[in-house]
Amino acid sequence: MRWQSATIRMVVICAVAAMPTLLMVANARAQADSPPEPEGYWQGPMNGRVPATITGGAVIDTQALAALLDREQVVVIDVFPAPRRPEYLSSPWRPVPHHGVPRSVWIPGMGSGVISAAMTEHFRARLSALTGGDHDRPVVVYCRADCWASWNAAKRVIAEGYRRVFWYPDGIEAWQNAGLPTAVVEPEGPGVQ
Amino acid sequence: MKRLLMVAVLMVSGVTCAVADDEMAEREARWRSVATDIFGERAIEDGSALLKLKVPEQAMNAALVPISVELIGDRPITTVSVVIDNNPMPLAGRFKLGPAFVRDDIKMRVRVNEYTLIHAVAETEDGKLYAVSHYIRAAGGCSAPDARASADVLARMGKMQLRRERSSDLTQVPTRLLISHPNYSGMQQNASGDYTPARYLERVSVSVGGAKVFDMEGGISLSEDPSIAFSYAPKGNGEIEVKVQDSSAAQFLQHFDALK
Repeated sequence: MRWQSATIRMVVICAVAAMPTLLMVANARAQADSPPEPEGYWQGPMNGRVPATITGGAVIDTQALAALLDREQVVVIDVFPAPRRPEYLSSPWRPVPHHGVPRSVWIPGMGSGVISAAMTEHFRARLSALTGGDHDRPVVVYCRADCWASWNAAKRVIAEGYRRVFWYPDGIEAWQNAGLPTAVVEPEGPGVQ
Repeated sequence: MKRLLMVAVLMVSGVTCAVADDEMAEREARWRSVATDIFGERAIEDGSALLKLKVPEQAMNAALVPISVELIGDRPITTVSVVIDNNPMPLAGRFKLGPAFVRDDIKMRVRVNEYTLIHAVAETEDGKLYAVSHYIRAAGGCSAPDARASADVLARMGKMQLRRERSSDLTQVPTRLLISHPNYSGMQQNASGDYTPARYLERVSVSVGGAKVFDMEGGISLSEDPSIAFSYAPKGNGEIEVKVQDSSAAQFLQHFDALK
């Protein structure tokens, strides 16, 4: 019967869709030997294994983040690197629209090992405006999985005296893999070309 | 009972499935728009009789993803392109094949900026296009910083190595060309947080004894120290010439003796 074959097809699609979840379970297991938190900001490559903790803040997982967004007025900061158009192009330039967790403010470059004075000024002003100066407002920081930029950026928010900082290390991949909705976000700040 | 069970499965997985379908549509739309930009309004047919694309499901390092395009069947192919749909500059490499190119695998290392389809596209002698694709879960490849010290990078820029396999079949030499070049994407930050301007391989031309093996157009999607594997048929005096031009108009030329 027709509905049956459609059902079977969907079940197959779902089995495939569930694979990332299994991979995430594997990731969680691998976290047992995560690197320790560095003293200051991480200065090494931005891609790589990240710590399991962040001093002064909390690690949040996908479900807890979804629940937090439902429950409270949350400031969400995405620090995914933005595309930068080469001056000279030999083939088409087609940056993909960037999908983030809904309500994200995208500040590319905020998570680098070293940031410029202009960047510091920008994120301070934005945080202050977005939280309405309330240091108890939850602030979530993320980029993608295995990305030190979100760890550094979350640490910067903690250093500004925000008391409820959540670092979401599983990043946008985990959010998408869980089937949660995303929104297209535009980059802002001095990291934008 | 069976029906009930299926309904239950559907209810549990309904959300994920809806997203999966949406995502498929989104991938297809992206490919159509990228393909139009690169190939114009030309029809692209299924290429599984001409090409086999091998891509790892998940990459250990998104800045160094090994991919291979195998040319199969015997329809004459003039051009092979590799497109990484969701990279900001999607065309990773376009190979115009010459008379000394031997139909075999083309292998290269690429950067993958986010989860994406990778397409391999063949153009046949009659001007038709054929494509195959593969999905890859990797992210951050275009912004991953250069792994080496910058003084070293500049000193070695443009130096090449050619690794050839001596096989019993002298009509076909499996070869790997390694070009020392950072292939800066423009999205990489240096130690002080500044962006290094893009500087990438624009063109790589390989010939043997005066006969063309291939001309390749590159882009920021090639990994640092680009590596290209191919096979050639020795022609003329057998000497290999490699010409490279980068996007800053620097040119590099190197000759390699005939394989003895």
